[in-house]
Amino acid sequence: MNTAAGLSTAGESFDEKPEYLIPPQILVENQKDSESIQTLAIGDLPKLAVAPPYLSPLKGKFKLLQLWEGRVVDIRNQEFDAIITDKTNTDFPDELVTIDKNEIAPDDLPLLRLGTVFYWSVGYLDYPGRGRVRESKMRFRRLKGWTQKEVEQARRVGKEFAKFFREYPGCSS
Amino acid sequence: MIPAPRRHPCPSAAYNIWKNFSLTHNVLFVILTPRTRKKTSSLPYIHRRTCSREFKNIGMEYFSRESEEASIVLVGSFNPAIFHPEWFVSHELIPQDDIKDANVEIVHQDLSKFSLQWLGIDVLRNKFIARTHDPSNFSALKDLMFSVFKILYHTPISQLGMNLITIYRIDTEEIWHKIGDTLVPKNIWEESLPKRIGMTSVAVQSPRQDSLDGFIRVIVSSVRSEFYGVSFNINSHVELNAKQHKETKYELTEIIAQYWEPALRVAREISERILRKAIDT
Amino acid sequence: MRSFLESIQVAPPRRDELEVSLFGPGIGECIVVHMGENQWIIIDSCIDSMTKTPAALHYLDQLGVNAADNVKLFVISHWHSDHIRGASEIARTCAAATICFSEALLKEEFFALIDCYAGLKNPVLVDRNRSGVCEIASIIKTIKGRCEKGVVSFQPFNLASADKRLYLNNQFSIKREIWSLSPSPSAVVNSLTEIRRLIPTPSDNEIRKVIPIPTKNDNAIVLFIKYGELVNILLGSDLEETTDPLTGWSVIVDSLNRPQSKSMLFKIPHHGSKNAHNHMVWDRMIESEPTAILTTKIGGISSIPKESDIKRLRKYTSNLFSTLDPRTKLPKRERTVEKTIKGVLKKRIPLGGTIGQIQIRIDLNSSLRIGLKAPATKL
Repeated sequence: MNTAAGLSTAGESFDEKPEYLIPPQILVENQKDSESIQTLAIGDLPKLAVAPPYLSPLKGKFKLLQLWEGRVVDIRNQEFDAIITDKTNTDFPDELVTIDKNEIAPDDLPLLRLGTVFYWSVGYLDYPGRGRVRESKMRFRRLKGWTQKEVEQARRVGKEFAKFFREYPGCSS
Repeated sequence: MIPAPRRHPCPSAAYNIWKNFSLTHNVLFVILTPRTRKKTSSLPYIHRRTCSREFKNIGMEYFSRESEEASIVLVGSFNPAIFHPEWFVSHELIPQDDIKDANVEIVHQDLSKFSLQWLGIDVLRNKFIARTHDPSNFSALKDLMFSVFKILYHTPISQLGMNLITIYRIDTEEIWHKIGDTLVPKNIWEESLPKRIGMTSVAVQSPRQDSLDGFIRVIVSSVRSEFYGVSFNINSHVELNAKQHKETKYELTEIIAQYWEPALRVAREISERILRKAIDT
Repeated sequence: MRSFLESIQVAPPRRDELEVSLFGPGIGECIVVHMGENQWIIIDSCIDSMTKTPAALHYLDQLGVNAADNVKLFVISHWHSDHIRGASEIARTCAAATICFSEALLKEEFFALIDCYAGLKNPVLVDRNRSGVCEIASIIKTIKGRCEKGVVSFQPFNLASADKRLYLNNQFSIKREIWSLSPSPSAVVNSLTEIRRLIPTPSDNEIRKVIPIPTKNDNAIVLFIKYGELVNILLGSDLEETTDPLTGWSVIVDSLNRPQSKSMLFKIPHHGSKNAHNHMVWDRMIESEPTAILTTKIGGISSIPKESDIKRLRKYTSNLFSTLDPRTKLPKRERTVEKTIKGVLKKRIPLGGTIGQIQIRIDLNSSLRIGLKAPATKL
């Protein structure tokens, strides 16, 4: 059985084909219909961006009951306001909520600023050795901001659009 | 030989009486006696008459979602040695607390592998795999990969996989067998393999329906552990043009950001639709 | 003459009848105006929570009006998310409409801001809460597309500024005009300063935030509608008063270039809040005992109008109507989730409930008929 350590060796080329989950079929002659289920020759099998089956399973099991995505709109001394969007029941309206700062993990507190986004979930956690726990957890989003290149690109686009509308014959200001 | 499943398991006497009535009588039965109808997990609660007088069970789910694992996989050229949990913390991609009970198996120039409570990272020279089995962290996984490859924008990447493995628990053994029989009809195999046969796994692939280059691959497998189950492994595969990798890196992060949630939604829709069709057929 | 009906009329207005319909779902607002001869104007946009479509388009559809041909002007009074939900769909649908917005939104700073958050040329990461940027980006692309096609039968866009006429129709010898009374030049400059501040600063360690909601409303477009000789209407948008005499309501009141007639119908600015109040507006721009309408805003530190606001407004008129949404019931979730929510949250207010409508129809003799659709109510 292949193991993670055995799969890649030093100097392995970029084009090495990863392991597949189903055995290859023999190419059928006169295969024309690209919409039908394909049977492919070994050499034609595509690389797959999938996690190989030999990876050990992650521990524990989570049963998600409810998920919101929130964004901070106001911060006060001991609490903050956020607008939360229900990602489990997408038909429900957004809600404006007030949350105690103690609900936030200490590592995430520096991220509590106007406009930051967080995920709030409620569910059950079954973890080996800990039984079943009902948990409510808030996790702030850590998404990298804009790079210099991106802001410069936006400014270039801004100039281009402003010039277009300024020079449009019907533009009256 | 695995016995053929009963088509509509429904032991109540009321239902059996109803089945034997003609059309007119059936309609009358439904109107007059809605309250006598019991709603149990083995009884269908909506009935519809078909031309052949067979009653199909609609609006009833015979399965429930047991677990999910999502992964984002990149095929390209990586340097596994840099991917230590501390690297992620130093770039503020995960909080310090997350790595306190990290299980770091190896960090090496050819392979890095570690897991946190919610995240598993495996990096080979040609593959980067990030996965989680906590649905509340599916978005956090996307955020992490977006940010990692914004920082490492120069990494050449040729393929992206946004994958979801869902295990469904099936209510009864009979329905479990029915699913296998529908997806892999036994009559194709019986002559060649006269002894007991059963489906273990079937794979189907189809080109993507959006503007991205790639395909959707669905692998359905049977699961027998503490329960009767079916696993759907759905790979949403995207081909990225290696020749234009500089522009592609800029687009890769945007593709992850824009297509991750739709990929998960589509994967769930595919698996549940196939399950329903396999059960209802 | 004023008459008050229990409910709105579902038949379209007469050809010579002016109609102003105000929609308010508790967050956001939209105004639909019939300028006679089946010519319609839409100001801002909000979503009807039942149909999930822009309230204006849904209403016009109910009346049997073809929005693609008969909407002649679409005014985006400012670009905050609560006034612009569904606006891109209106812009796309109303193919014969001139889209009108503040001059500040045609500057390169604004386009750069929109490109950062919503991508005008290339796709970018788009956040869930975009404070209207995605809608605006889509509208800009729609307008640009129409300009590039060389549309000649009408002007695809127009810029609103102080004391400028946006619409004129003299059909059947009835003069119908729409004027913008703001933003003033100073307000445009202030607005651009704030827009520049909102453009993200590149930084290695900065995490991405959603676009902050702009703090000021001094770039909002106030409209004055003149219908025939007797009917004048003032639509106050969200314009707030400022201490600067060159911005806010003061500069409008003091302007000699605007139409000087007093209005019989006043759409009160910024949900009746104290920040948008200027006594001189009531004194010099509004008739005595006018009909006044407003939308309620749920959210923020407290909902507006507050009791004190209503008390203040009732000193000016007893004909005060609101698209007030009585506190919407919170949706119920699974028991475990509800228990957890109760333990975590200190306060919960649903945003966006059933949409209320105030429908006002006025004939050339300034006879007025008011209809309300629940939860709209007389205050």
